[in-house]
Amino acid sequence: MSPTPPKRFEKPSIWSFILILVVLLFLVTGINNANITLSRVIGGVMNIGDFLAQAFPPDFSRIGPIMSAMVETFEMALVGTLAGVIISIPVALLSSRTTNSISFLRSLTRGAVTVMRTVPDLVWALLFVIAVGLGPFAGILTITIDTIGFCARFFSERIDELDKKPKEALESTGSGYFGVITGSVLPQATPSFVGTSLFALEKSIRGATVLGLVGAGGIGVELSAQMSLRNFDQALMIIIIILILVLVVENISQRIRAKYI
Amino acid sequence: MNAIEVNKVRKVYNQRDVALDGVSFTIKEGESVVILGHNGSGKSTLFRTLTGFEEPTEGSVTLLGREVDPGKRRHLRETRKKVGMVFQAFGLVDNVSVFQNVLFGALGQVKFAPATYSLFASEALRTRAMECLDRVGLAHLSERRADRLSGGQKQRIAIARMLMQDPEIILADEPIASLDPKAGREVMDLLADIAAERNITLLMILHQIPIAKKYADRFIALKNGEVFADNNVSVIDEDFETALFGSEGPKDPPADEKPGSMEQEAKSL
Ligand SMILES: Nc1ncnc2c1ncn2[C@@H]1O[C@H](COP(=O)(O)OP(=O)(O)OP(=O)(O)O)[C@@H](O)[C@H]1O
Ligand SMILES: [Mg+2]
Repeated sequence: MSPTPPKRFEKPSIWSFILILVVLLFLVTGINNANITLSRVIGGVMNIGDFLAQAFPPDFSRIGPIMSAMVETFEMALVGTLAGVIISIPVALLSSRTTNSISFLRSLTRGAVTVMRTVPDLVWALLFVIAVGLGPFAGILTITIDTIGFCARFFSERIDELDKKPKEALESTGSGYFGVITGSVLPQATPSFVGTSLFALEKSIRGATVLGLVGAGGIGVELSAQMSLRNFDQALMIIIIILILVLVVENISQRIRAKYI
Repeated sequence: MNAIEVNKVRKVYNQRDVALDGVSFTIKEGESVVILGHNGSGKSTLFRTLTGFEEPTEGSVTLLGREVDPGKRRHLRETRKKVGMVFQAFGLVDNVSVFQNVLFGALGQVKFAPATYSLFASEALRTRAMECLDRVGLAHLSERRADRLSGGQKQRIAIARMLMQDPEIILADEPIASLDPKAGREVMDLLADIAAERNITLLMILHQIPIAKKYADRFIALKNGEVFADNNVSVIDEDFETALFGSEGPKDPPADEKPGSMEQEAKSL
C-alpha cells in the first residue's frame, strides 16, 4: 500500500472560524453604514467630472508662492528625516539585543519607538501644533518622530541580523564598547541604513505634503485653502507640483540606492 | 611562567548541555599546542571560555598570570589585548578596506576608537599597520575592500590585524578549515613562523592530524567535553585516532534523540 498524501483541505480551528465570522460581520456592516447607493456613486463620478472640468486648465498664475511653499515642504521633510535618522542610530543600538544587553532598557526604547510608529503622523502634527504653534517647526517635529518610528525599528532589526563574527573579533582585541560599535556594527549596517533612510525620506515627502491640512506647515495649507475656496484650477496645479516633487525625489533616491547598495 | 592555565573548567549550557567537564591543563610560554576532538567535543567552547566570551560554570582560567573573569570588563579587556584570535570565518568587516581592518586590530590600545580610523590614525599607527600587512605579504592589497579577497587572503589579513595587538598568545580556532590545501599550508606556515620568531604561545584547534603533527609538539584531545589525552604529537597513530574519533564515519542520529545533546554526540561517535 502506498502512503496516503496529506488532506487537500485542513479543517479550520474554532478560533480561525470565529475570526472569519467577525471579519465578515465588519465587512457587511461597513458596507451598510457607508450608505453606498447607485445614485451616490453616479453623483460622485459627476462631481469629480465637475472638479476636473473646472480644474482644467490648471492655473499657474500663483506659481511663485506655491513654489516657495513646495520648497518649504521639501525642507521640512529633509530636516525632519535627517534629524530622525540621526536620533534613530543610538535608539536602534539601545533596542538591539546585539548591542544592548540590558533587557529593561531594550524594552523601554522599543516601547517608545512603537508609540512613535503607531500613532499616525497627523495626530502627532496636531499635538505639535498645540505645543509649538502653527507652521513648519511643528511639521519638522512630526516628521522627526515619524522617521524615528520607522528607521529605529528597521535599523535595530538590521543590527540584530548582522554577522556577529566581526564584532567578536574586535571584542577579542580588547576593544571597548564604542570601538566595537563604530568598528564593526555600524560599518556593516551602513548600506542598509542608507537604503532605509532614503525610503524614510520618500515617505516624509509624501507625509509633509498633507501636514499643512492641520496647520503644520508646507504645501498642504495652500491645497486645503484652494479646495475650500473651490479654486479647483489652482488646486490642480498644486497637485501636479506635489506629484512632480514626489516623483523626482523617489527617482533620485532609487538611483542612489541602486548605486550604493 | 605559564601562558595558559585551565583549572577544572566545567561549562554547562542552558543548565543541561555539558560542553566541558573538568578540563585542566597548563601551557608554558612559547609552546605550540594543538587541540583535537570530534565535532561538539567542546573545543570552541574551551576557546570562548579562555577569552571570556563564556563564563565557566565551575573552575577558572588564567592567561598570562591574569584571571579571566567575564564579570570584570576592564580587567578582561586588559587581558584580551595581549591575546590574538584567529577564526575559521576570519571575522573581517566586509565593507571597509583591508587597511582599515588591520587598523581595527589596535582598538584595544587607543583611548578613543576614532584614533584607529584611517582618516584620523597617527602616522605611527598607519606605518605599523602597513608593517603588519607586509609581514603577511599583502601590503599591495591595503586599499582593497575586505570582501573582495580570496579565503586565504582574508585569513592572512585577519592575522595582520591580530599582529597589531603585538600578542603574547595566539588562539586559532580552525584557522584553515575553510581554505584549500595550498592556502591552508601558507596560513599555517605564517602562523608558525610568526609564533617562532616572537616566542608567542600558539594554541590552535585543528582537524587534520598530519597538519597537527607538523605544526605542534604537543596535543590536547577533547572527547565529550573531557580531556581524553594530553601528550606529544608523536604518539598519535591509527589506534589512537580510532579511540578518539571512532572507527566509523558519523551516523545519522537516532530519530528519538534530541539533536545536539551530549548523549547523542557520544553515541554517534
Ligand atoms: N551557545 C551555545 N548554547 C548551547 N549549547 C552550545 C552553545 N555552544 C556550543 N554548545 C554545545 O556545546 C557542545 C560543544 O560545542 P563546541 O562548539 O564547543 O564544539 P567544537 O568541539 O568546537 O565542535 P566543532 O568541531 O563542530 O567546531 C556542543 O554539544 C554544542 O551543541
Ligand atoms: Mg568549533
